[in-house]
Amino acid sequence: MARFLPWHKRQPAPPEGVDAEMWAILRTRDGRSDPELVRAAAEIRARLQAQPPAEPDPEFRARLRANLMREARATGKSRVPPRRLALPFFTTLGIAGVAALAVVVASVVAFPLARGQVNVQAAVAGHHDIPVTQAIRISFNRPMDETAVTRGLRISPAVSYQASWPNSKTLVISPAHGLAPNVGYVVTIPQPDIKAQNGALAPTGLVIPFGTGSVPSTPQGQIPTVVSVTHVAVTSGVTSLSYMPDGALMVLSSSTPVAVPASAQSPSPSPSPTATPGQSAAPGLSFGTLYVLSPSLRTVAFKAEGAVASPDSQEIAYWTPGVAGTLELDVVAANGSGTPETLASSAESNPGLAWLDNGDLIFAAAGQLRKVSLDGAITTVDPTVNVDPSGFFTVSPSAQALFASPGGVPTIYSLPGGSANPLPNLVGGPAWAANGNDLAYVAATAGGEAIDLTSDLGTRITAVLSAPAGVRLSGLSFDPTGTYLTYVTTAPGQPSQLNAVDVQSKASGPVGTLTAVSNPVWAPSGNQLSALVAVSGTTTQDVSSLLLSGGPPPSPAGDPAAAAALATASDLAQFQVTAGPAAEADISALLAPGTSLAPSVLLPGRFDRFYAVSTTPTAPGSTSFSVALNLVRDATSSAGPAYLPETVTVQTAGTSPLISNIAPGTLTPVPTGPLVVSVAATTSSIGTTVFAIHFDSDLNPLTVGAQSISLSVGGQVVSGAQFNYSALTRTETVTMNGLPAGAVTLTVSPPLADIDNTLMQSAYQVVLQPQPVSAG
Amino acid sequence: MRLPPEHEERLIVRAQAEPEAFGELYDQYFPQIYRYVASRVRSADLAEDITSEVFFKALRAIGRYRPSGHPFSAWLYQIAVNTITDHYRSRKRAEDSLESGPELASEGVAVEDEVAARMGLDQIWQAIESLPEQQRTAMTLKYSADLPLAEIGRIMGKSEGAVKLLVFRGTATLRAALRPLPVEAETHHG
Repeated sequence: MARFLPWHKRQPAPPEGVDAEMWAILRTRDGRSDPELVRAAAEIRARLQAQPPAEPDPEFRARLRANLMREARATGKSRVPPRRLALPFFTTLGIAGVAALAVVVASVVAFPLARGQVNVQAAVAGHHDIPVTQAIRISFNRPMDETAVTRGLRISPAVSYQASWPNSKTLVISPAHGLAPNVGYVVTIPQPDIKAQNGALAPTGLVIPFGTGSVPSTPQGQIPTVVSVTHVAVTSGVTSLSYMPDGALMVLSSSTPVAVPASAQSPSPSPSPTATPGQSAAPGLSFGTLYVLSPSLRTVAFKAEGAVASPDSQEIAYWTPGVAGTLELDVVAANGSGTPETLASSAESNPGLAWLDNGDLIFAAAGQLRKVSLDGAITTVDPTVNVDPSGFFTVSPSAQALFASPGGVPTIYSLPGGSANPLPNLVGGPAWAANGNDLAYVAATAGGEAIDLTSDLGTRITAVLSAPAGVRLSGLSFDPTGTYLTYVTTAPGQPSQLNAVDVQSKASGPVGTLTAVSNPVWAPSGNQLSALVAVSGTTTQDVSSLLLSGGPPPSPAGDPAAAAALATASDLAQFQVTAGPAAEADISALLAPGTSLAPSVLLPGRFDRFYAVSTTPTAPGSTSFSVALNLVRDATSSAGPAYLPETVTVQTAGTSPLISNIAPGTLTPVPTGPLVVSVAATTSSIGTTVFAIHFDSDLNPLTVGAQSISLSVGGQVVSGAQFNYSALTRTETVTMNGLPAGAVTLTVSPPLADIDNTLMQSAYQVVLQPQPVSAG
Repeated sequence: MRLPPEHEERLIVRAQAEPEAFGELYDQYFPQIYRYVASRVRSADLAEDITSEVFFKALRAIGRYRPSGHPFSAWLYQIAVNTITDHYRSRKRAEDSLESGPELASEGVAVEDEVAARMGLDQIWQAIESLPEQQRTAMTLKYSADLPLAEIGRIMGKSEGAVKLLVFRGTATLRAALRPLPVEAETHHG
């Protein structure tokens, strides 16, 4: 039945060429319109509609269908490509092949552009100081056949990794336990596997050489110890404490922090009375003033919450109250200059905020995960994933996984479009490790609270530790390498304490003696962490920084003479690597009187890095030490990766350690298969000797043990050792009780193999004098 | 072009259980998605790349697709809009020099007629490309793909009113860009 409207509500019919919806857009409420605008709309529509439709190439249509069906058949289950199979590509490629191909790559791998070819870029290529926690990102110029590319991917030395595709043109390789420090790597993909979805190929195989920087570490199984505590500032009403990537501390608080001068590290002064009151405009959020505490205290923003610093530490983004109960996402210069710029808004009560490596910010709005670039363009990360950020909500550092709480059930997702696994026991945390894979959280168990860890997006869950009954756990935070997890324990009626657990060995213990601690956060350097300490009898909080013990694995802790010998030999190697012949005067200054400098020591500056393999007394109780070094040339060199072993003898009896002999070995191609990069031996007061052997590769654990590692004293093989391999730190620990006195020969040999089952190429042997370890 | 809703829903449920059934959805929606992408990127090579990406994304996410009363094509358009946006943003950021293939050509039209038609068309597309991203998306979905405003709103995650405003502003900008009006015409309406 037709409906009749009163005359004033009748709509004039749309003009010719304009449909009813367009007419509704173009006319004003009183039914009038701009005739030119209407004519323009009609013309645009007519011309575009008259445009002959773009017809796809039938071959392309059929090929794409075939590719889709192939993937549908192959990957009906997991969207994350599995760990690669052990194919012989890299092992048969050989060092010479790598060297020859390496000439092709420069600081950026870029194949020549041609229609139909695949163009590849990798930012890490040619760099020698890539952080060990960094994921390797490879970009292609066209959507790729992900299965083929992932199948051909190799990393040498072997690394256990997860390959993911944020989109079809970007491959992200996330090492499961980070990269090894101070190691040269090569990523390769053979040419036939660099295949686009439309069948285009790269002109040659891909070779990406790069090296990692050094990071301090603590021997596996030991909890870092506190060397010193610095009181950075005193404030109150702190809602957030975090480090910026450049190492500056950032705090959100309701009162202006007061910096504590070096001359007055205790007791704490009172905070400024000119406080900016904290505000709460949205449920669950508490707004404060944003301060950066170093290098000098500065105010950056007001009414801020959820602040995160950009990867280059130049900007800080945060949420601030907007109109009608919404939140506005503002960005401001980290140096406090300029005015904030609003990039986006969200009506979510807990919108989360993370800054991705590519400069985009990621957050939740309207039930979906959104990205916004600094130029204001907003996109939905994955329209297929809906989030309910009313509960726990956080995004991994690499935005590969999302943690949310839809319907009250904490759930971990892979992005984009991957698996979703519930973490039903989660009651607190959660904390991501820097590798973007490991997620630790507080779990409720029958006996109380525990810390659980998942490294594969919730598929498998590992128990890290259980708290005694009644003890609450909070403040989870990973160190930058993902080795340690700090946490706060609070027992009934007791002040809270700071603890750490080695997530691999499960060894745990207190960190320092501070009490009433909360919000521990690790510095990017990995040798420092900061936390809030409640000042007794006041409402103020002390921002305290704890300097932690650490050092390269071979550092002979507990023996100052050995440490001094190692430092002197390292100085020599540094001169050799960086300056070559120009360092003659510097090297001469390290030599003991009467020691001559052989010309062969003045290497021609052709090395990229060095590492110390072992430091051991030349005889039991001697003050003379033998330091074994490897000077390493990365695969970025046109001549290919190689290393030169060098033995340096250092006398430590005098006032300063001096070198009495330098014995360079022969330049040797870096072998395929695992390589020993450091060995340390210590003997405790009860007679237990521990050998820690670090490798450059992830090892096949089935090949590590008595069949590949042996100890002998005085030419006699000793038995009874216990073997324990840590995949997390690539370390084999050999424990031996009642080892006979004397020099110990340690031999590591095939069948030791890496995770690709590439055998160790030749046996490694070293003679060690186990160092007594000091108590504590 | 939309399948009957019940048939479409059955097809989706089948595709979720047995991914190979996705092929039928592909057969149904490939032409319109390709045409929309081609109208946005104006390069045959790039249109193929982006269309590939759209359908691979859809295949990987089909298991979590939940019918919402909107046609399945709206979901595919949503993925296409995001993929195109990502492409332009990454190209802008990285100055990625993706090669351009030959311009799309139609068949069966006399060369001189096509040249004449394309002069106006190119002018329009050039003007559309100069619009802000959101306006550009709304304009092409409305004018070129001829989708209803409600569907465009669903695709762009905006209200129908917001889409109206984007189309109105885009049309006004195009009018000024394509045919500068005499002064009196500018002041004609109140």
